[in-house]
Amino acid sequence: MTFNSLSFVLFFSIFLTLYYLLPKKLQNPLLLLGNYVFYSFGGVTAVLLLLAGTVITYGCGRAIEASFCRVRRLWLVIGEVYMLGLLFALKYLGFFSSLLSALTGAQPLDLTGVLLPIGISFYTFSVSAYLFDVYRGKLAAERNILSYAIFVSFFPAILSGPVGKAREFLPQLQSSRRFQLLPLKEGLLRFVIGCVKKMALADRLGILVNTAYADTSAISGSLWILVAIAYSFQIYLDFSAYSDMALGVAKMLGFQLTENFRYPYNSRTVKEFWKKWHISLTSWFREYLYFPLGGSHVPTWRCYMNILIVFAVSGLWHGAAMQFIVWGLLNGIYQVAGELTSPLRKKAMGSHSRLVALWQTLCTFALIAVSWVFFRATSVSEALFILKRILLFYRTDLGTSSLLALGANTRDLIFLAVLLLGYFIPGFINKAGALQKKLPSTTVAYWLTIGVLLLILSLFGVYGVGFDPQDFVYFSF
Amino acid sequence: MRNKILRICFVCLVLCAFMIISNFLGTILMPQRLDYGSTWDSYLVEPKDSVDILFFGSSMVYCNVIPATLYKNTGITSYVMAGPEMTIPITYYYIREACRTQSPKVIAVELNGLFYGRYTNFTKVTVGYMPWSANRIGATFNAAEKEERLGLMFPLYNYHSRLSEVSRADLISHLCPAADPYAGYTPLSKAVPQTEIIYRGYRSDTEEFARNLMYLKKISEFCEVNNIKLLLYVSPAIAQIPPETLETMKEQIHSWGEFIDFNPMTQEMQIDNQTDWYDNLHFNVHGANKFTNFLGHYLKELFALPETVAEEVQLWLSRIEQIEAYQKEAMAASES
Repeated sequence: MTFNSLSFVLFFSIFLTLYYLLPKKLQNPLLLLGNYVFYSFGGVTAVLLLLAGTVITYGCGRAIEASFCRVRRLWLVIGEVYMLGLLFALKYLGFFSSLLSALTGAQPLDLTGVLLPIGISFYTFSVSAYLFDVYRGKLAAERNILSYAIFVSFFPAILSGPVGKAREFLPQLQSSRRFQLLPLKEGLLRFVIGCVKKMALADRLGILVNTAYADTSAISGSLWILVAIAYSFQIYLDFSAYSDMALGVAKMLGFQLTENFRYPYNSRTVKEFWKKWHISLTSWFREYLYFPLGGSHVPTWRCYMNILIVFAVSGLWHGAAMQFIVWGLLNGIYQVAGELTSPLRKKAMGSHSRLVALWQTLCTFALIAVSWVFFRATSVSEALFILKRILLFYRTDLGTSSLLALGANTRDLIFLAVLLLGYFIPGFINKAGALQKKLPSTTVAYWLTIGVLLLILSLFGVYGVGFDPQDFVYFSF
Repeated sequence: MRNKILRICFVCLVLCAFMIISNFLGTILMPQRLDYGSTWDSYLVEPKDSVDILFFGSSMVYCNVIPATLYKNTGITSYVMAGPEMTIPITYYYIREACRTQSPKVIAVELNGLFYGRYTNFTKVTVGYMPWSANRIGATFNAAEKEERLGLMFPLYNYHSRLSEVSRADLISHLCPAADPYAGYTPLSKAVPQTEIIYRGYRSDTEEFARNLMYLKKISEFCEVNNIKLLLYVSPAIAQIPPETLETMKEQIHSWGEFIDFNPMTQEMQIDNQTDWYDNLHFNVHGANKFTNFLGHYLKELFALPETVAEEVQLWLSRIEQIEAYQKEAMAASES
């Protein structure tokens, strides 16, 4: 069940009504029930694994707090090995087995039929962070297993994040969440905006991108540049749309989740980009991998090494395939190169001129767009083929340059351009955020906006007959 | 309190406006439908209460009955309001809807639909092109597949993808529909020689047949209440209803209206199996012409129908002109 489905709308409407009608003491049990009903669409095995992980890590958390010295560490290791080990077994075993087989000639493991439970990458990290926080004394172990189970299985975030921090979420469970119109309206607006971003923008871009990637040699270098740009916007819109919907649903339930995006393409450096993209995951890696490795409190060469390790692991987290590792490493290299050349660039360009800012923003976007080529491709060789084509963009004999070859007609492309401009321009001039904050406190403007957004969604959304609706990109992670 | 009520009313207004606008947009994004049945846009611009006979059923009606020819030979106005593979339950709702703008003296229902399954392939068309009314909603929830209901209640679901291809002609046909020059008939010119009669695997002991009978009875009751004569007929075809099944059907429906099987009369109609068939179920324009000639005189005698006092004679004369031109063209094409 995805957020942009009628079954979810029905489920959530009923759930939300009961949530605010039932007595306060039943709110949390209902929330837990709702979480598991929502997750049950992923299959019985997925539910059982979630339940097992919840119970085991709850026990480990309590044991860590109750123990001393090495025993504490033992409980931490047990919890982490179980969760990360499960993730490794389900997600990475096949990849490493194939890698080993390629290197040694041994027979790879036959893991057909092993399905990756949806959301496991996300809740594993949430739980893993919780155990670390308890171990380090930053957080008291949650005594109430119900509250802990809600944290692990919280349905707005379980499928694709944001990667939750227990120390931010658990206190919210203790306070009573009464019906209030303003947060409900804020959440609904955010949810609807997310739906429009996903179905009317991201999925429409996806049609162009998927057509290009279906036959990479048919498209010319100049068209591939556009496809790379299109994919950059697609993945941003797709993922941020999910986050919008997740945060919107959580808001309607009275919870505040971590913001996951802050206009990432409006960044002047790759370092700045990674402070604004998938913020919850980036901060997880910073806190639980980069800092334990020494962070920047080590010799420079080690600091750079740590950056590369973190990004390589981040790439691997996204997918058990070489192109994701290359994508991660590439971003790591960008960041290291950025650090190395920063004094030189500041000297050459200064940092105050608007033109310089624009140039830097465009360069950053170009670098990120190149890395997305690896992210989207099905293999490293496919990505390299595309990049080679891009470099030969002036060759008109290599594939078609017609936009119409991307599975859309002129009218489709015009609609898409208008919708994209309509979305990005207000954001670029920073009006969209301000408007989104003011609207829920109005009545007429708010409901007219909801009506117009629903109309845009109905007219331009990718759903129903004639379209193949796309799964959220991050569901596969 | 007053403000709260006003706010709630405003919210309801916005949601209603959204439903109305989105359904309007969905409707105008639908491809224009000018032939092959379910031509509701054209039907609804037909002058009110100007049609004396309404024909309902499947393609065996809209390919076989020519209202212009019937008018030419008998002076009686008629209209074909059939749909592709239209089931009897949907026909029931069609009749109810069609009678909102016309007051026919006779309703003629072709009976092959009694043997269609619960759902055929064209519900999206037959129900989807109905005008918005309680009858459309009734057809959606009682006669359409469950998976089609969302698209039928919310046409944007089915047709929003047409935004990139909708033409001016599509929009004009919905916003400013014109009268149908063929009054619901779809002319076919191809001639495929037919040889011997074959029998379709129709049975009268199925659940679907019983359900269709129930709706046929509702049609009969509707006609009785509204003082409309009902003709239940079997259209001529090469692929026919098996004789035993036909007999069983006749026994069950004979009291609900005038029953006639036109198959034994094809010789009288002078149907030529070499030149008059489009396929084993449908006449081409020549066969339809002969059948309609026969049908028109038969209906006039059976129901003692006077000539229609048509105010829109010009419309009917132009229809006659149109069909004659088509017939001439078809003749010339077949001779060459």
